[in-house]
Amino acid sequence: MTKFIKQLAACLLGIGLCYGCIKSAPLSPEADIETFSVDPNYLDVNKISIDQTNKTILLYVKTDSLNSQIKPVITITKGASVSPASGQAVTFNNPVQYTVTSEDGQNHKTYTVKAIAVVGFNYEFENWQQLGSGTRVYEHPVEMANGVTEPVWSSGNPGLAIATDPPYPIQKTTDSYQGNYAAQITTMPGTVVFGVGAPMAAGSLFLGTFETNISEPLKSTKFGQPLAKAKKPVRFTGYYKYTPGPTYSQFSIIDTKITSAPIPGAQDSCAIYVIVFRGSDPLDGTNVNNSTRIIARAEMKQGLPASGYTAFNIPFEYYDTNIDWKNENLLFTVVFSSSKGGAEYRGALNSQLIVDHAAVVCEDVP
Amino acid sequence: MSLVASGGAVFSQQNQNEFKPEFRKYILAGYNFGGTVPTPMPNTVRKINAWWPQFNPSLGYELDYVFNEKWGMGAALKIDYKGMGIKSEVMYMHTSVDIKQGDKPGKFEGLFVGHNKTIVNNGYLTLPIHAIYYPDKNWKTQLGVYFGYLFHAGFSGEVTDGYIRTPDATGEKIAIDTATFNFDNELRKFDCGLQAGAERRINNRISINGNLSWGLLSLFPKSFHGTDFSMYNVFFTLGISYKL
Repeated sequence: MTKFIKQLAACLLGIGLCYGCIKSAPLSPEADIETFSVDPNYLDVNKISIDQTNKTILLYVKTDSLNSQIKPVITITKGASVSPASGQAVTFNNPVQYTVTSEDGQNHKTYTVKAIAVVGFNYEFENWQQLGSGTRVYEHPVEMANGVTEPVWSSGNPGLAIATDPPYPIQKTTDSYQGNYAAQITTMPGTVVFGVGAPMAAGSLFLGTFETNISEPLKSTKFGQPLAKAKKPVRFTGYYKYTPGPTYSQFSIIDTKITSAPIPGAQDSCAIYVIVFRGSDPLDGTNVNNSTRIIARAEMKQGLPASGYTAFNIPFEYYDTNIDWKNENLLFTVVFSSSKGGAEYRGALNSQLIVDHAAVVCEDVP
Repeated sequence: MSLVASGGAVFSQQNQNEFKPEFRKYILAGYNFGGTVPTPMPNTVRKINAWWPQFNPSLGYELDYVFNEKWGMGAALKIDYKGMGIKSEVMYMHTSVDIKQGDKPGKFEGLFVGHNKTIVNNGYLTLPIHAIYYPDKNWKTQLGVYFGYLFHAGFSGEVTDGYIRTPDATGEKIAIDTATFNFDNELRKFDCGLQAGAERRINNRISINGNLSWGLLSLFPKSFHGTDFSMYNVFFTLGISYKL
């Protein structure tokens, strides 16, 4: 009988060993371009942004360098390979496709690297691009310059698309002020994955990129595009319509679920503003309102309801006048949001902002 | 005299050999050691950093019917807590969870790389049924099946210091400092499996026993994709029985 007990014990030991018998490590299925750099002498602005979500890399290549043989230095996921290889000469007069193959050979990821010009200052929201995959397809407006699509607009859409099906906050609408389309921005429930995320998604359309950070959602929105040299923004103009949603509320995540507490007597308001700031790194949702790098702002103060298209014409207010417009690296962003309190998750579901025919009016600095 | 005496001895021996089938009743108390084990171990699990049992009492009532000196059969009704905690490091572990955002259905899918801590704390109402064999008067062995009903579900934990690729390996890389998960409502309500055990008599009332139960139904139904491997309840009960 003791033999039986021994066998039982051996069996238990077997279970214990089952924990211990770790299999050999899987080969990496990842295939990322992690960094991409080129000789800054070829660039107007030494700011290269990799949009991992949409696998796009934008280079501000000087017009006279478009036919140059440029040798980008690329770093990729450990174990993966890339074609064309890092250091291989390419020209960026047309978009270049870089394909990364994962270590396990199973996955291929193709990035489009394109040269773009520093974005202009007129926004008509006529051209839209579909992004995402499967049923999770969302839209962003794009700018066009000399026939090149410039995906400079971003939003929280990709953050919602990680876990929720459409619709998403930013959509095109035929209810336009002029042309075929305008941008429609709607406040929607947020997304919570594994107990973290954003309980409310104030629709927000901005110049910049979006890098999903579910632990700190406000850090997902990366604001900023290069400002053309020797241009000083003086006014921000455009047309908008705004309908606040019915119930202004404070949204929060309680016990991994989205909950909302109505705030009686209050109404949602929209946010429409432009900021100009120093440096070449973007601002994010945590510092876009208070960074000391901000030198100027044009902001609609109240964001009141407007049932028909209503013009806005807002002068820039400068906090710093000691600016070298010709040489300094400056960034700016245009932000439209359907709920002003979006960063604090305060707003009303279905608040809707429609914008069209907007412009940042600039003076040439002699 | 001696004839009478020896005749009496023979008589009494015969009396002992005539075993009358009988019911025996026991109160069982014990503690469950073990785990919810992925079998086979997936290669996405890179390292087990810690394992510990939760508070896993086992309490029950057993009714045996003994046919003869060697054989019997029995059944019990038990409350079994089967829990554990585990800390592991995983690489490219596939997860897919349904997420309801207000009235909007959602789904999040991806490959997780990082640290995982899982606490399992399940309570089952268990019905074991077994055949009993008595090798001698001190030992009792049993082999059978068990059925379990989950009355208390606990399967939750957190993932830390890692990232998730969504929806697949080439998708977006999302850093995860700390995130929690709770799959209580996804657990299967029923469990069944095999069980085998042995018991040693200490005195007329009390015995110590050990019993292994091996679940054959995975903890989660096939429709659940929160983990990409199946897990089974494999627990060893160490306890005592008190004969009523």
